[in-house]
Amino acid sequence: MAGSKIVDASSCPNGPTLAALLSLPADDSLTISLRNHLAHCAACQYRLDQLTDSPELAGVLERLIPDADGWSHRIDEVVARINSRIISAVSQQELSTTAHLARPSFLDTKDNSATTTPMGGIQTSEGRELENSPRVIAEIPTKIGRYPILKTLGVGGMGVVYLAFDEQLQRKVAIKTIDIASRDKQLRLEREAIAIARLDSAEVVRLYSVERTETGETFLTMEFVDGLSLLDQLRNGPRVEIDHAVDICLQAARGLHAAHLAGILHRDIKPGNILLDRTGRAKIVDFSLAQFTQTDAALTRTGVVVGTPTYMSPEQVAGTPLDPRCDVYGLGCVLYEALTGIPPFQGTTFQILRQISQDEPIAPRRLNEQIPLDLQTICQKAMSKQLDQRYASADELAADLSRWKSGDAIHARPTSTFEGLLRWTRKNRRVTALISTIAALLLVITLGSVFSVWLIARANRTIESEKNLALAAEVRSANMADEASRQRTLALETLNDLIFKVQEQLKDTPRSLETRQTILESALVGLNRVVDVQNDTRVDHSSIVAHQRIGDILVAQGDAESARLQYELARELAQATYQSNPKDRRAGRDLASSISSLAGLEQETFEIVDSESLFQQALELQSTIIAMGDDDPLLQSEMAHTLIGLGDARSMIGGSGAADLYQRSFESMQQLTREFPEVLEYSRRRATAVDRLSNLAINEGDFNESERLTELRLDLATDMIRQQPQNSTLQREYARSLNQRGRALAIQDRLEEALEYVIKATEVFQEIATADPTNAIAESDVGQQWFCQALIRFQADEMDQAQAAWQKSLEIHERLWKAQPTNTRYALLAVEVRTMIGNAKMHQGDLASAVMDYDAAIELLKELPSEIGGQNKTVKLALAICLPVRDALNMAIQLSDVQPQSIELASDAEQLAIGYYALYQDLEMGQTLARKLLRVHTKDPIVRRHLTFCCAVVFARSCQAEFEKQAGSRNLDSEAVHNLGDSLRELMVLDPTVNRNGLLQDPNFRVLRSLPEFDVLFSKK
Amino acid sequence: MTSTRTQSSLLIRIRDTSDTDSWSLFVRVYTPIVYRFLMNKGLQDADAADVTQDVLIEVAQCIRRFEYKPEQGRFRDWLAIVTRRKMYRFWERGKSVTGLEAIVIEPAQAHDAEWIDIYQGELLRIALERVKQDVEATTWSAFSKTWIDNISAAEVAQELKLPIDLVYSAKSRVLKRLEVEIRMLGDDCGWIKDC
Repeated sequence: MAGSKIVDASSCPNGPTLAALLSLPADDSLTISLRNHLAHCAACQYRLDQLTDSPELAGVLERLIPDADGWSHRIDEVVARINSRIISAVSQQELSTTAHLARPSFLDTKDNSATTTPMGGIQTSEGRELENSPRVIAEIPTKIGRYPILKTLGVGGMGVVYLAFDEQLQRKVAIKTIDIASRDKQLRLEREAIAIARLDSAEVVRLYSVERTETGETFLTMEFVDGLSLLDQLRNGPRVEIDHAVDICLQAARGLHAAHLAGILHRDIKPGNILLDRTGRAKIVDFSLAQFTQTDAALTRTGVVVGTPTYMSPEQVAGTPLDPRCDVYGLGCVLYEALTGIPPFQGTTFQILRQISQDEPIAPRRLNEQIPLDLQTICQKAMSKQLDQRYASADELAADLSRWKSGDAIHARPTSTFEGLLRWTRKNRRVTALISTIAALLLVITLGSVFSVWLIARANRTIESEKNLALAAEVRSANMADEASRQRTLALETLNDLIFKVQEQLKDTPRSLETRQTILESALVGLNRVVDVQNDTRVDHSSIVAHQRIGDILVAQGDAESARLQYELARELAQATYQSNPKDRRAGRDLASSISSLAGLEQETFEIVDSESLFQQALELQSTIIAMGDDDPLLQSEMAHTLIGLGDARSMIGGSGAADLYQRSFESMQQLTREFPEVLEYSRRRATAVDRLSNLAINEGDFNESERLTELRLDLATDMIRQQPQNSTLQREYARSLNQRGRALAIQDRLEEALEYVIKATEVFQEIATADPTNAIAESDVGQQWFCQALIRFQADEMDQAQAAWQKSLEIHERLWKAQPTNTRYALLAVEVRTMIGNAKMHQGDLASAVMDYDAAIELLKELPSEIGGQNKTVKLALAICLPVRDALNMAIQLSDVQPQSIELASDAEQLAIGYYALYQDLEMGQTLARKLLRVHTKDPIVRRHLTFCCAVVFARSCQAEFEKQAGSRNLDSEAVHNLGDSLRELMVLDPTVNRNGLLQDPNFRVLRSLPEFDVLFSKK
Repeated sequence: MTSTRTQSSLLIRIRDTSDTDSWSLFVRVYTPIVYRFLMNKGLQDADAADVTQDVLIEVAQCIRRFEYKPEQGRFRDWLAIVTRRKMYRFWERGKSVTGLEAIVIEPAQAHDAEWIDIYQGELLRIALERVKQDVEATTWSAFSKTWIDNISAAEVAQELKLPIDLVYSAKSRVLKRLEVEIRMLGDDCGWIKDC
């Protein structure tokens, strides 16, 4: 201290000298000249005033109740009175408890040399936290690491902060002990510290080192800032002046910017992390620390863990990746609190989290009308929930603050009415923290299911907590019930997003099937939990959709049986909901959708008749709902989809009306596409309608129409794929349209051009399949495309290439079938390829090979598990075709030596097969065809017999179909019976050996047998 | 001016029931806080004294369980809760059931500004009193004139005929002493379990 005597200045002494003289013993006098200087220098006096001020105590002093009522004189009297009574009360109690009173060991006050360091030895007046000096002197360690501890500065969220002395470097340092969550985090902190320690900014508290004590506890040494935190200032001190608040935030913004430039985010900007030194300069402390410490829940000054995320940014709440704008937000909150005196959001943790993501804080000027409008604007812009509306960097915020200071026009614009409206809309939309999580994570999810699992875990946690809240609500108050209901809504929205938005986004992403399935299944678990809490039709709707989509995924994976189960679950649930309230249009739509999905599945597995009736049901339901006044375009789009499905079923059966259905679908989608050109789904469905119409035109051999429609189809597909080249659904559409174009050219015999298109289509299909090996549909597409290519090559007489293409198709379908042995679709496609190969060989005159192919096809059909194959009408039909053809071929081979026309015979057999085919596919056409054939092939008794029988069956079945449709129409019944009688009579003339009674027992006549006419006609004869 | 006694927290010391000096000091410090608060709440002098007594007895009974656990709360808040509880009990005893309805029972809040003001104020008052006894009269004058009465150091120096640096160092030293005293008396980072 003696050194300060040297100071003998006519100019102002420096800060440390002034600080030192305050601690000089009274008898250790200064030089005369310095004294004289101090006595007259207002600047030095001002600085000394500052140095000897204690703002907190001064604040208390100001609020001290005036001593007007003679209080201080009465204290002694009151105390004396009370004291006597207490002592007697306590000593009585003492007597009863002394027996087992042990003196707690930690009471032993350490003889702590550090704590007895005379305060004068520390050159500044620290320990200013009158109010928040949570320390017990007995617990101060004497040393941490190599640093002797002088005193405690405070207790923060992460640990205790001490003032220590670095003897090596002869400087005071602040030491912060922190609780590190794990060894891993310890190492990361040490790495990160390198960058933080490099920060050289007057506005950042310098980090010196990260060290460990001998016992392995981590502590940081850093620059000692002698002053208060902004938090202390806000809570204890006098109100922060507006100018001062701006200065603090301006400096903090600069400090943040410096850190951001070095690639360091603070992540935990709050008033407690902004230190104000004695000159009022702001310095930011604890960069990046929050992520390494055990509790992200802040220990507040009161020492109570409240975990209040008051200053968290919306993106932190959402758990999305952070950038410097996160700190900008935090600083916005600090500015808000400095200006208004209260944090932007208050309440329970849940309330705050919700507010951060949804609510705008009260406008600062409404809390303190002295806040200038521009400053409010700056504050609001910094705290904007939407990243793109926030200041892009701390530097921009600093620039606007300094513009405001100097009176220049700020760059931030006040919230206009329009923006206010936008905010309102956003607030009222289903935007919540978790939803934004989902949106931001979408991209990530596509990369792997780990993230989706995490996402789901989050959602489920929310559900868990809301469930607890709900339980608590039952015993507590209505307010809590409200809270629970809000939480439930939040959870439900999250789950809905998993089911709707996420799925929608992932739908066209390759290789996402498994991820999507996991998400959906977890979402269903979550939904079931929500159901536990409260019955809610929203939950039903979501569950239905989840089941539907799981079904879709299973279809894509080729697992038709599991898919059926999911669709049926969806249908049951929808049915129950709809029945309980037939006015619930959404339930009706859900029901229609699930029926439509089931119908689609039946079609996939070639259960065409079932498929048709299901589609019919769905269509009727959808029409009913539209008649109820539902004009949702989505419903129209769903109905257009049903129309297509029904049309497909009709055209596969061979019935009429498919064209009308397709046309209706097209018109409705055409209109929607005009109204909503931006909705790709509508364009896609319109293109599908064009696809089906062109298909009809090709099948009917209508050159002009097929030309026009396939060109239109290709244009539409090309348009869509340009918009989203990576969308695998659109890629598929594009490939289909190429193929269709090829087919249209093929019927005009422009085979070379046709081949070009078809080959191109094959390539595109192949690309899609390669991109996602888990998608069975894509692979099946490739198989079918090879089939189409083979047909055109066959037509072009390129037999070898056609055979090779068929072979490829066959391999693919057999492979698929092996992977999913219960999926009849693949078996049937393989059979179709086999028979085509057989037919081609037959046409080439290679009957023996053709027989082998038919044999193989028959074997394949018989290999189908009976419980599936036996039920499937298409399987039966395929057998019904293959068996006679094979027999006919065999017969032709036997006869070929003696009868040159045997090939003709074989083709008769083929015709016969066509007749059978018609029998199942198109009753009317089958009847006509059979009659025609009957007239032509009169010579061969066997063929005749088959054909006649065929006619009879056709009659019977057509009547049966009519009968089923219009039960009770006697005319039709008798007509059918009489037709059958005619046919049988004719048959017996041709072949007297026919067992008439045996024939009459044929299952095909089941319905007819129940009619009275049947008995009248047949039993008497 | 210093003694080791002043270095250790009063709240820690009163856990030792044999330390009657500390207990007396505790009562001296905290009686005014509780009493004043109750008077502010409208209790009559005698009633306030009764309730204050109840509060302090509860402190005496519980203080052994006082622990240094910053994460659980602070003594100040605990005392506020006990004081309010005793106050409500007093009201319940005194009033008829219907009369009870007239009383607006405020929830016990840790951050009751009124309580904090009284707590801090009374703590400061007694700390000032105690420090005054510990320092020389001139030093006290220099301090109280500059800090409490808010007279400029230059004027005080003239009035007391002291060099201005001594006025400042007196102010500085007393303030530090005051802070230490307040910390010692009111060191309140701790919680009393199950009381």
